[in-house]
Order: sequence, then structure tokens, then C-alpha cells
Amino acid sequence: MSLVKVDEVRKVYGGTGEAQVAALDGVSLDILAGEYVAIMGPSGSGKTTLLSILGAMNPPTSGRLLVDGIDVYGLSQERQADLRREYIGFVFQQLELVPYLSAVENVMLPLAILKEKGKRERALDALCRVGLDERKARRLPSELSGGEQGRVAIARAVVNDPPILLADEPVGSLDTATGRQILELLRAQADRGHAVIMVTHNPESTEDVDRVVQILDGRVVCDDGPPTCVVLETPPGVFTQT
Amino acid sequence: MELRSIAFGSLKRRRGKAFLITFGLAVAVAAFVLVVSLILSMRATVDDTLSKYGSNLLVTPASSELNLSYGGMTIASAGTGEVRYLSGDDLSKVTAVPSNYQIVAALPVMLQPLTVDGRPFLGMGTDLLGSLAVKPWWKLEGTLPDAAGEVIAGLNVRNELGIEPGDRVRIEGRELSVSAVLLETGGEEDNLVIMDRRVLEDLVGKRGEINLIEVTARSTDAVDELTAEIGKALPQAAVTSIRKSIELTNQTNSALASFGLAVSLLIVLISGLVVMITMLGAVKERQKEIGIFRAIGYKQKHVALLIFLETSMLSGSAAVAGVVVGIVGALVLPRLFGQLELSFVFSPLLIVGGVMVAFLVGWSAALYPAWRAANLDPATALKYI
Repeated sequence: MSLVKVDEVRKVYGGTGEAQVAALDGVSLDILAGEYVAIMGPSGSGKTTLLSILGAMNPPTSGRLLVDGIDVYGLSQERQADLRREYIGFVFQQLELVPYLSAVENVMLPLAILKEKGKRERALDALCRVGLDERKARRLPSELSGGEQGRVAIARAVVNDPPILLADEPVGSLDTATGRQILELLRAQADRGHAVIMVTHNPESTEDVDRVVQILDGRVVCDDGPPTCVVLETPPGVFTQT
Repeated sequence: MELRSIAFGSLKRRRGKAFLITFGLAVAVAAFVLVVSLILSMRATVDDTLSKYGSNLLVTPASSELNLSYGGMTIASAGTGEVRYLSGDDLSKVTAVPSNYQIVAALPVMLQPLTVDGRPFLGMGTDLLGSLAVKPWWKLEGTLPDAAGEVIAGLNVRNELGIEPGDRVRIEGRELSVSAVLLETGGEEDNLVIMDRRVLEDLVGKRGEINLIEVTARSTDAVDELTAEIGKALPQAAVTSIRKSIELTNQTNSALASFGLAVSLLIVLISGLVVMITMLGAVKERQKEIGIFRAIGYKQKHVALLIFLETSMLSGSAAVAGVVVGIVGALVLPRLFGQLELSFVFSPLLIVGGVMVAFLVGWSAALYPAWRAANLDPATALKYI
């Protein structure tokens, strides 16, 4: 059974008639645990909208999102928040670490609302898994390098051990070397059994992924491994299946 | 890590806004503490002054024939028809009432019409030392009568008769010396010939006849209680509080207190608005941060709680600062304005009230920003829409 099932999802923005814009138009996907999926597409293709729907933050106009068999948007807003905390880890485009909290405190953020002991140990363990020691854990994000900040962001996303990891252009704002490190870490998370779903417009980011889903004008135009889905030269940014 | 650590970190990060909010709240608290403190001080000072400045109660014999006046009140006549007097026993009963600890002085007074150098005046026989103690406005030109043959002339008596301290006057056929003149009081005393009660008794040939007892209470709050108790102890007497003076003072106090409270309420409201606007700005500034919190599973109540935790921390700081500033202001302000002779009165109400104002204003001002923050759509905040 798929961990994430996107079933004929359609998302329309705007008012009525011609003012309406269909960001997604009948998208269906099945993503398994441990699968590393890249969602690609040019700007305005609908990939960010799809990510926000997958993140239980943006209800579709029609269609369903099932996570572990749960109809996410059939839940109340409060239960959706619970589901986000239990099932989904986010790695944001700008990493979005909270600047006034230390690395370990950033990682502890998802745990802060839980009434349980050993939060700090869990956060340190998550940091250790991404290669950051206790000394670095005490530093503020501004005192860490870009790569280290990326590691903290991933540690924060996985500290709850969520089955799904969503990454929004995780290397978009990083230099090549740091970007490489982040992608390797995402690969490692998938190898640990997390379903990793990454939105990117950069084909180089898809080298290690298991699967590429290419979106154009709100529709899936290609859904296969990286060798089969390639970027066409003309028109720019348009994908096709070979 | 708990939510309060996040709240504290956020405040540290946004020191400017945190200071502005704390300052706004502290102003509200300080205004409240200052006004309440001044009201308490004013009331205490007025009470103190009233207790120093003469009697608050007059005990007179009940009589149907009234034609003598003293202290703005009509006193039983000493000259016509049925005349009733109080006695030494009555004085003892006054000083033995249950709330007698509230009595500063109880002075028996005898009032008799006298002929002084052939002209009619009212003679007052009283305890001169006691009267001087509770009537500090009695200023004498000359010396206190120390012999049986000496009297004090009121200002109008002096003017009428053209006498000075040391002169002799003829009262009821006897020669007496004027040892002092009572300087202008603006009251009934200006028309009196004042002497020791025993001297007056000798002059008129009456013993133990007390026309009235002047009772000085320790505070205006005790006047009603004493009135009731003395009335019960002396059912044959009329007990009259100097209500006009007390009520006028209380009315003035109440008006000043209401004005002060209205001004402080206005300051509290303005401070609340400043706090709310600053917090709304902070929420807008933190939209993305709140979006991240929501994306990683924070519920609306967690976001609202964060805002309230931050407000509570600032309210606590503002309460301490505001109470200190308010109390210092209450101590210093009357000295800056020399004409305000107020003695500072400390009350736990100042601290309790100050803390309550800080938290009530803080929480009220945080309600709307917290609601806005809690209802931020995470997808919008993270610009996913």
C-alpha cells in the first residue's frame, strides 16, 4: 500500500469563470515508504501547490490526499496539525531556521509542544545523525555555515521520525558543495525508510532520486525514473517522456 | 525546551519591540499606581487634617427651644424656657463608648450670654489647653489665661470694645483681665469671650451645666460609628456630626479621585492600544516564523499561547517597573509641587492593583494579535499559495 496517495487532485485559484486559474488539474500519485521522489517543473507549473497540498496545509478544490490511508483534508484543522507533526517533516527552501534559537533548540521545535522527557537527547541524536556534534548544536544558525544550517534543517525535519519528508527547493539557495551535502542527506533519509518528496527545478538535483515526477500546467506529464524523464531544450523548461 | 523558551528567545531577538511594549504597559501601571497612591495619600491627609482641625461631632442636650448657634449649628438656648444641660456623667459616657479609641478629644463646653463692659456677648467656657490642642487655627496674641480672672477675647469682641491684651473688662459685674486676643478664625470664635469653664461657672453662678461636648474623631471614617455609639449612650442628647464639612471634603476627594481614575483609565487605554499595535506589527513581521511553527505541527492554540507567554513575560517586567515608578512618583511628585502637602500611604493594593493592570492590559491587548497569529494560514505565511 502506498504511504502517500494523491487522488485526482485539482486546485483552482481565483474567482469564477475566466479569472480562475487551475494550478493543479487532476494530479494523481502514489508514493511508497523509502521512495525518493523529485517533483520537477518550470515556474508556475503547480509543483509548489502540490507540495503544500502534500504538506496538509492547502486543501485541494477537489480530489483527495491519503496519508497512511487517512483522508487528510477530511480531518479538522487541529487534527491536520497533529498529522503534520506525526507524519510530515519539512525542509524549507531558505531552510528557515529560527534565528534566535540554537541549533539544538531549532531541532527541538517540533518537540516543544509535546509533554515528554528526553527532548534534548532526541534533538542531539538527530543532529548527530546528520553529522553535527554537541559543540555545534549550541551555536546559533548565524554561527553555522550554510551546509551546517542545512543539516540542522534536516535534523529538525526528522527529529519526530516522520514517515514523510517534504523538501522545497532544498538546494536552491545553497552553493554547489553544500547543495550536494544536503541531497546526500536526503538520500540517506530515504534509505532509512522515509518517503522523501523534493520539489526542484534543477535537473542536477535529481541525480540520486528514485523517481522524477514532471509537472507542466498543473498536469503530470512524466512520472518515471531519471533516465526516462528528461528536459527538452525547446520550449524552455518543458519536459517530456522519451 | 518548552514554549516559554521560544517566547523568551523571541523577546530577546526583538528587544526594541519588547521594550516598547514593556514601556507602554509600565506607563499604564505607573499611572494607575500613582493615581491610587495619591488618592490614598489625599484621603489620609484630609483625615489627618480633619482630626487635627477641631471637632467632628457635637453632643448637645435635646431641647425644643433652640436659639444659640455655635460652629454653624444651633445649640440649645441658655436663656429662655426649658433649658437642658449635659453633665459630667454624660461626658464620661461619651469617653466610654466602644470605639473610644477613635476619639482624639472630648471637650465639655459651656455657653452663656454675658454682659461685657455693658454690651451683650456670648461667653464660652471650655478646657483651654485641650481646645488649643485640637484647634491649631487658634492663634493667640498674648498669653493663655493662667489665672481665674483672665479671659480670651475673640477678634470681633476686641474690635467692638477696643481692648488689647492686658486690658481689663467688666463681665457680669466682675473685673477680669484680657490675657490674649484670638486672632481671626473666620468662625464663631471671633464673637466669643473665651475662658476656662470654671471661670464662666463662677461668673454665671452655675455648676456642672454643660451646653455641648465637642468630640474630635481620629478619622472621618469613624465619625458615623461614633455618632451612632454616642447617640446610643446618651439617648437624651442630640449627636450631630459636622457633616457639611466632611461631606464637602469627601465630595472634593471623590471628584478628584474620579478625575484621577479617569485620567489613568485613559492612559491605560492608550497604552493598551500602543501595545496592541506594536504586537500586531510583531505578528506581521513574524508571519513566516508562525507559518513554520504551523507547518511543523503547532496548533492554533500553541501559536496563541506563544503570543500570550511573550505578553505575560513583558507584563511581569512592566508590573515591576510600573509599580516602582508609580510609588517613586507618589513620593516625589508632592514634593515637586510644594503646595501639595501629602503624606505617602503604602498599601498592598498598589502592588496587587499594579500587577493586575499590567496583566489585564497586556492580555487584553494581546487578544487580537494572538487571534490573528493563530489564524494565519500556514500555506499563505510560507507563500505556498
